[in-house]
Amino acid sequence: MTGGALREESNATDSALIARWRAGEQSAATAIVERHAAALTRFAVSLGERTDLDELVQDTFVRAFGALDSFRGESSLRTWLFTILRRLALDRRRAGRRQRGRVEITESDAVTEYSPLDGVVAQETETRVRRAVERLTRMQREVFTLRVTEGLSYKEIADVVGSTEGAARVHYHNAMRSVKEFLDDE
Amino acid sequence: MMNDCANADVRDLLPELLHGRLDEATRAGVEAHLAVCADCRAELELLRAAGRALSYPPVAVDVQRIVAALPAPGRARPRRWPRAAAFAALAAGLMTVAVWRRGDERAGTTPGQHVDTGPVVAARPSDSVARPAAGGLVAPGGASDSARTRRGPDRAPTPREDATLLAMGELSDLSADQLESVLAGLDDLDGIPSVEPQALPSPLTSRERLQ
Repeated sequence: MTGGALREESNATDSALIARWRAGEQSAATAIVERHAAALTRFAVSLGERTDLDELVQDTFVRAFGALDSFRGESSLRTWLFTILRRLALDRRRAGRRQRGRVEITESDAVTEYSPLDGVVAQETETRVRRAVERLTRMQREVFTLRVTEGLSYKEIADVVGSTEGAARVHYHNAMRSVKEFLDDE
Repeated sequence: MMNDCANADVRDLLPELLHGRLDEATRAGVEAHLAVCADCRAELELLRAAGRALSYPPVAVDVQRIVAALPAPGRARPRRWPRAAAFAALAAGLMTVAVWRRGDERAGTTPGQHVDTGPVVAARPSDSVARPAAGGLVAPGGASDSARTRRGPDRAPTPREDATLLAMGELSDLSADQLESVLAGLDDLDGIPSVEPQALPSPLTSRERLQ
């Protein structure tokens, strides 16, 4: 693929890429996966998933592309992908198939448990913030991550987590308060 | 000590500012507030740090492997017909049972006691003239006295009751439009609760139970 073609892919909207994929352009699918895979992986981590992340992300794309006909475009593609991934993660949790591998974040979790990531998040402030986020409730952590790292609106977050816009706002502000209190107390 | 600014509207916009999602006028307003508000500046810095902390490079994703696993264009799964049809059959069965039981109740019998209530529409109390079926126990007005007493004499059936009554029948009795409507409703069903479950209160100890 040429540099010009790459730029074209990166500028195309998700809707245009979907249309091109439906028309038979496989490269459009590649562009969609490249565009959203990292965000999906980050979100999976915020859900508490620690193993087989690539499998979870792949399953999300397979499920999404298998149901693209039902995607009405009322939300953004990324929001829809988040919703699918969240459901898959919950299914995975319910089934208990990953009981040994999945790490439920608890109060006692030490940051050293995630040593592969520590080298990346080197700065002290960021490490403390991450520890504070790890101590949030599951819902607070999901909402906070979607708001802070992905910049989703409360409406989009509500769509993803199956809540209401008002509840998403409350979860976000409670999360922010908890993070601040943790940083103050440390 | 990190404090919350009293201006909740501005605080709500800080993530949008961080992600460049504000229009020019709103962004200028928020930035003007930031210039004079140390609490909001601190919160914005916290958001930046959180964004960096939570956006660590993810586990490498093999894009080509994912793409290779995707269905071919045009072969997307159109609808979950088998699952939807199973739900529709179940729903139709439940509705049939509900109407059957209601018919028994109106006729003053217990469920399971066979009474031919005749056409269901004839049993609606809103009908001025009932059409009791041969051998049936439907009283004039469409219901037995005992059932009428339990239900109240003048209460009109709710739309849901009407819909339930009129929905009696086999799945094959539904028109294509009705079937499509039922299936569309089933497709929209979501198994995920819309609220976060609340923690259960801690169970009482045996000593507390005794007191």
